[in-house]
Amino acid sequence: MLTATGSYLINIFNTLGEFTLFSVSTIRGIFSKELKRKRVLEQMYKVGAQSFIITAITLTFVGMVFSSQVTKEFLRMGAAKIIGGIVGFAIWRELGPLLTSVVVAARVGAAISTEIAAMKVTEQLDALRSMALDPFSYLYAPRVIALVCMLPLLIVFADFCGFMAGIFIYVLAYNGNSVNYFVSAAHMLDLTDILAGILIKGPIFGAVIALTATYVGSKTSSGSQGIGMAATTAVVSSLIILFILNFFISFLVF
Amino acid sequence: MIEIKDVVKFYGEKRILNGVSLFVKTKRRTTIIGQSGCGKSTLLRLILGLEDFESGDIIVDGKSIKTLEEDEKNKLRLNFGMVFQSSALFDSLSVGENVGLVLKEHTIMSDKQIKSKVMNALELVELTDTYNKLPSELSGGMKKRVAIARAIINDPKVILFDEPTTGLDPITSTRIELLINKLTDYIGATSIIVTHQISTILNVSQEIFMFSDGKAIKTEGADKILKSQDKDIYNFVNGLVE
Repeated sequence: MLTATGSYLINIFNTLGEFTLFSVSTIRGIFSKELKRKRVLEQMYKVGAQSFIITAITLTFVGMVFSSQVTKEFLRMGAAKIIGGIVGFAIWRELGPLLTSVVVAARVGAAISTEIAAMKVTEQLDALRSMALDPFSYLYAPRVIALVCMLPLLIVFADFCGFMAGIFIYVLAYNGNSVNYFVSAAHMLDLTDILAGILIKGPIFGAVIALTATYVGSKTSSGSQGIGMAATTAVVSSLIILFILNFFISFLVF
Repeated sequence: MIEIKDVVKFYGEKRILNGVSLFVKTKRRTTIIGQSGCGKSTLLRLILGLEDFESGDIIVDGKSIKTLEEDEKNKLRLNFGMVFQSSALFDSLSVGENVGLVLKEHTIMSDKQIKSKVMNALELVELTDTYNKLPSELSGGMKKRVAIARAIINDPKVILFDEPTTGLDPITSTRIELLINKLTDYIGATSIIVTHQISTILNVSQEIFMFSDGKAIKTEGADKILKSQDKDIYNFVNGLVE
């Protein structure tokens, strides 16, 4: 029992150590001469194009359901004037950044880890190295930069969709006044509420998703089972880290 | 040019190479044979510095691989071409891009010059019509030939072939074997071929080493290997189980 626990702990610390070294090498790859702008732009396009619609759909419906629930209860309590602010708080501070990151982790993170894992299994990573090309600057760094840059933009778009979906339900389903909705949001929200989700959570979450996906993919074992496992592990690990980080960032910033 | 001295390599608890020593003669085709899992491919990876090893040394061009930093290893790797067992073509790149990648990343050649060199290499492997195709559109034998074109594109001093004919039909295997002979002679490169295919051993080898119990045994030439007096070699080439 003691041996098993010890070995489990050693494994965890080993993985943490390896992940740290991997992250340092990737960050070094970002500043390497080998990093090509074309590869970064390709990845940025992929991340944006892959996640744009699914992010919009997710946040639109989350905004609608949240607005519906809040409006129903707040109207009953006679607090209609603060509905816009409450929906705004929820969307801009938490739901927008977090749910966008969850969607991106599931869509892009899984795709990245699967791609890297397949490259590992089919010796493409070794082929790169045999051609004196560094996978950190050639493969991993462009993906990290792409996610760090694109996730904040996706969050802006997602926040907008969620907030506007909220007003749509508030006005159409509950005959609310759209001006009140905006005024309430303008009174209750300050710039930190809006920007922290975009400029703090966005880049950090983007880096977490990209680093986790590339790390897990690059460490995969051989075979199709290994590739499948890589996708699952990357998504699950990213989500756990995102939820934990989200708590600490929200706790410290707001 | 390449000297392997008493190399020991473990995977976990398992000792894969148990003091392998061999000398690869310049501009000769050296074949390494042995059963699956005996460490033949591992040795190629060690020569390229893709993996570390526990003890011993590998000397390439007078430099010990073990003491080189990654940047120095990269410089050395540019003198090598490697044909991987799975071909290892990049799925997202076309055949032309795969073959020309090393030139694009490491030289200041224009796109036009690179294309011309790539076409030359593809002509040597008789695959000029595949320039714009993706690897997924090629057969196994064609992938191997593209991988060979990629390995020779920068005129390497050494070409490493990892199981170049495994999984191919006999005719395609022979075509690949003839190609290996033609190209290594054409470039004047030293080549190391890892294989367990008897036809490849017979058609390609100029020097042969047999891996057994984690060690390398120098054998007679390809013409004599089928009648070797060594029990391990005799059993291997004749497929005998003890």
